[in-house]
Amino acid sequence: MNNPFQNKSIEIPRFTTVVQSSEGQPRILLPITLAVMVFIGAMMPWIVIRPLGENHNSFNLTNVPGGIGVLITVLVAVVTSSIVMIWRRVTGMIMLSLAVASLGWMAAISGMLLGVVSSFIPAIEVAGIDLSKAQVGQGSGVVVSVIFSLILAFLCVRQLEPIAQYSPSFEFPVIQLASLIPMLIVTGTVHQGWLVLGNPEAQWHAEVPGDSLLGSGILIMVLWLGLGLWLTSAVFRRPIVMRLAGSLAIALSFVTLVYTVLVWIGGRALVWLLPSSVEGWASVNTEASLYTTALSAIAIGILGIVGIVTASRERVIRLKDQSQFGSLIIPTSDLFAYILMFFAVLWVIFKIVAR
Amino acid sequence: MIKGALTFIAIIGVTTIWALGWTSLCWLVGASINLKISTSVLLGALLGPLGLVTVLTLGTLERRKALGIRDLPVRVESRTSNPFS
Repeated sequence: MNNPFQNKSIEIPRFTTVVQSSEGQPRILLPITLAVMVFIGAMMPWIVIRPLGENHNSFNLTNVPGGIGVLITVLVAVVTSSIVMIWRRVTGMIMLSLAVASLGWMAAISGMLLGVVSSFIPAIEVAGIDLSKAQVGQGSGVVVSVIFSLILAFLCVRQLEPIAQYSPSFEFPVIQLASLIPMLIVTGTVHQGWLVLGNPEAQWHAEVPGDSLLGSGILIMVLWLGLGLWLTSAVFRRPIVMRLAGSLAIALSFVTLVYTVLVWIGGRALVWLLPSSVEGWASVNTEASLYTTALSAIAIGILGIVGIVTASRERVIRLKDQSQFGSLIIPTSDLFAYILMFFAVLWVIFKIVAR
Repeated sequence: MIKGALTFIAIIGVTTIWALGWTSLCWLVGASINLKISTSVLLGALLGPLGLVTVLTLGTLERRKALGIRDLPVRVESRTSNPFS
């Protein structure tokens, strides 16, 4: 079987590690790049505070006392794991994944604690919507940290027995890959403002993001479960897993769509009920993120149906071991790493310019 | 300084409890469906709640295999070669 993530220069080890690889050793650059991406996620906002009528304030691990210490501890673990990877590739990769998974879990736990934090804020009722719930939200850094730590974790678990038997070759199934895109979009847009009450230019305005709605916590949890199931079905490559992931995607799509439609109708009703634009305060604006969420939900549903229908005969993108660019030959695994590095560099440049 | 140290301990502690909790759960579930301990434990530690889903999926597939139900690998209908070449 053809594995583009295999390092041809290193033979399968004769020693017994915690796990045994069924098909050679993974390459070193991609896991390290994924770990770097998790660190970048840790530098992005984890918690966004949206006070009424003021600019957003965002916080991450570096804003917490002792947070830098946590990052340095994880960094030391990452460097140690990278050194171990030189000799014992899979063991080092698992150590690396465990180290960055801790950052991913910190991000996920911070997101879960938001519900507790927002429960301490007194209720501010405007036209039946509790704006206190909208004042604390999850930042984009959580999604970046969790997703890249999960990708690294899935690269590791592919090496485990008996999972390796179900995932013998590295091909990218098209449906799974396509389904992940709208799901990732929804994980981001659900934390952004769907409705804006009042005028952003005016002194007072309030945002109503998707994560402030009743039951949205469960929706977000199921959304992550759906993401995980599509990733699992990409690893296991069995029709039953694909049907399970597809069914969950359809249910998820339906519920998300109902949420967006209800918010859209609610926004329209508010426009109709409120006195016409008193000093700009009484205006209700539907944001682009609401429409993006709705369209992504439709895409999730359609891809879920297609996934179930084509569960036993799927289409895949098969990658070669290496790609040739003129006289330059780059292993595909490294190519992915370079692409990620490119985005990482872009992010750094953006941060420097925006400062 | 003390505040920083206490927060550090709290963050590491909560994350460790989270990871150990899911690891134990995956271990228990994995043991009940005769999965390799190392696989169940690593799935829990690396994937957390998704690890439990993976353990259950793996358990189902292994059980179906033991019962003689053949879960054939997906038949690849069409292959697109390397998009980078």
